[in-house]
Amino acid sequence: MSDNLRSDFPFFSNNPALVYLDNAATTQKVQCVIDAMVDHMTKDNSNIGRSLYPLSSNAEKKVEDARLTAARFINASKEEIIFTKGSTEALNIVSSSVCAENADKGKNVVISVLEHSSNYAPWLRDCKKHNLILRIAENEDDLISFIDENTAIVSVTGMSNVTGFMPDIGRICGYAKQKGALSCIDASQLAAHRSIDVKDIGCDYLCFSSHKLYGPEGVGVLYSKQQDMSHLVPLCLGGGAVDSSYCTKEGHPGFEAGTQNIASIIGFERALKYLIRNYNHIKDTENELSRYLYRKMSELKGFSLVCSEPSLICSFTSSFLSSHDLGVLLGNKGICVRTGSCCAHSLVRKISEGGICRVSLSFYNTKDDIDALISQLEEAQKRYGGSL
Amino acid sequence: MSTIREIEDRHISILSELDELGQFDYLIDLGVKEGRDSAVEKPCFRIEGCKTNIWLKAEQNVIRASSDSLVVLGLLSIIRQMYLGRSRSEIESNPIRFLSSVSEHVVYSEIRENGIKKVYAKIISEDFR
Repeated sequence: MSDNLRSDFPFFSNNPALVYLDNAATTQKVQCVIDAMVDHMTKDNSNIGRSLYPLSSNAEKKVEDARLTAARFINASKEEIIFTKGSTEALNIVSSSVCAENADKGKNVVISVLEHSSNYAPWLRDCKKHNLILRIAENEDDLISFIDENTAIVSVTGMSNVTGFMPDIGRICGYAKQKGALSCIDASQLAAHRSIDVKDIGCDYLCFSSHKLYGPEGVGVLYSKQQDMSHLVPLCLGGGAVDSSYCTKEGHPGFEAGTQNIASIIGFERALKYLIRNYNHIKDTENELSRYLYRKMSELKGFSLVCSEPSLICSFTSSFLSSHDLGVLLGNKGICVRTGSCCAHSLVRKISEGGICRVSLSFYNTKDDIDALISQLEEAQKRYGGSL
Repeated sequence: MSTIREIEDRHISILSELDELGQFDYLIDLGVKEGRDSAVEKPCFRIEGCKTNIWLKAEQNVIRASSDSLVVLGLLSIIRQMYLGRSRSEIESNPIRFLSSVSEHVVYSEIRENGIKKVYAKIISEDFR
């Protein structure tokens, strides 16, 4: 692993003893992101869109530059990029809009059991509210078979936050299109690890969050194909989103009411540029790390892996400690992993009533990190494995 | 028979001497000795809202509890030692104090607020002698 990229993250020099393996929850922040945000707040801070002085127009330019970078990141145009608080808000916009538009028409919505709560709960609520049928597929073939002429939208994850499994989203979106349905991809996990081309995928909507891409919290992207933005209705209105007659503006401005999270948008852009610049190296490093993790985890006694092949997200259960207890133990040994349902309640309930323990890798992790985890799991097995 | 306070003070004394990993081991050991009570592991006895499974049956002076977490079973063991066979007024006069002697890195706020606090509330809401 490239020590040079790891050294771009000040978190690690500030926490040399900590092993951070919870990257699917949030990633550490790269120094250039922090610098850009501090720079903006200490030198260039002003609001955008409402003032005529250069300071304000410079800030506005930075936000629009960020929109362009976000568009390039997924091969879209900048008019198709809506800044949101994150994937959760984005998916709520899509769900509330599409379900309202298709209310009481005998329509259905297709999602999968892999979904994070953010791509599950809004559909549950909005399908019930607007009288649509919610179809929840157990696997990809089921999902395809659930799509029919009455499907309003298919909304699926690009990468499970529990198993790391990546459905064939191109196939799913293509099939949805054939049937006249819209498609939405939750790329919250995928975007950190794979390059995304919305034209190749053929989706109508796609979303991701900055904080899982080495950027700050509180900002994300909802991509909407230009012709499909008319299906969407803003969750909130206010300054910047309406004209002088209080009519909602067309396009992305209509979805960005109120003062935007400007510093975070600027930081987000730096994170995206960092990812674009290092993508090939990141992919190679992460592939090597995931293979190493899978091999080491497979050799352990007393643990069952959820995934059946190397993956950047590796969840497991223990035969002698609950996921909660294992998480507490590892946490007190300086190893950060996720435990419980990981906000994918339906999926994790099928795997284990007591939840799972999740290790999620990033390119800045090292084989030493994985060795430290394995060593602690072996020690736990020796210490507690015989007690039950 | 020791009072509730005496039993709790014994645990507080031990827990206060231990570091975080020591407290973890202590609670795990108590949990292992306590063992799971599969008979109460039913939806009707589940403490709702806690991410870790906790089941509690408290009625007519009987307290039965279970969890899939050994740490939580350890906590439940202390609670059972304290309150089993006590009157409602005794339990109400002696709310749980020992958690303040346990590191928040061993028993997280989730377990305290959504688990143990609700366990205590359920115990005192039941019709004890």
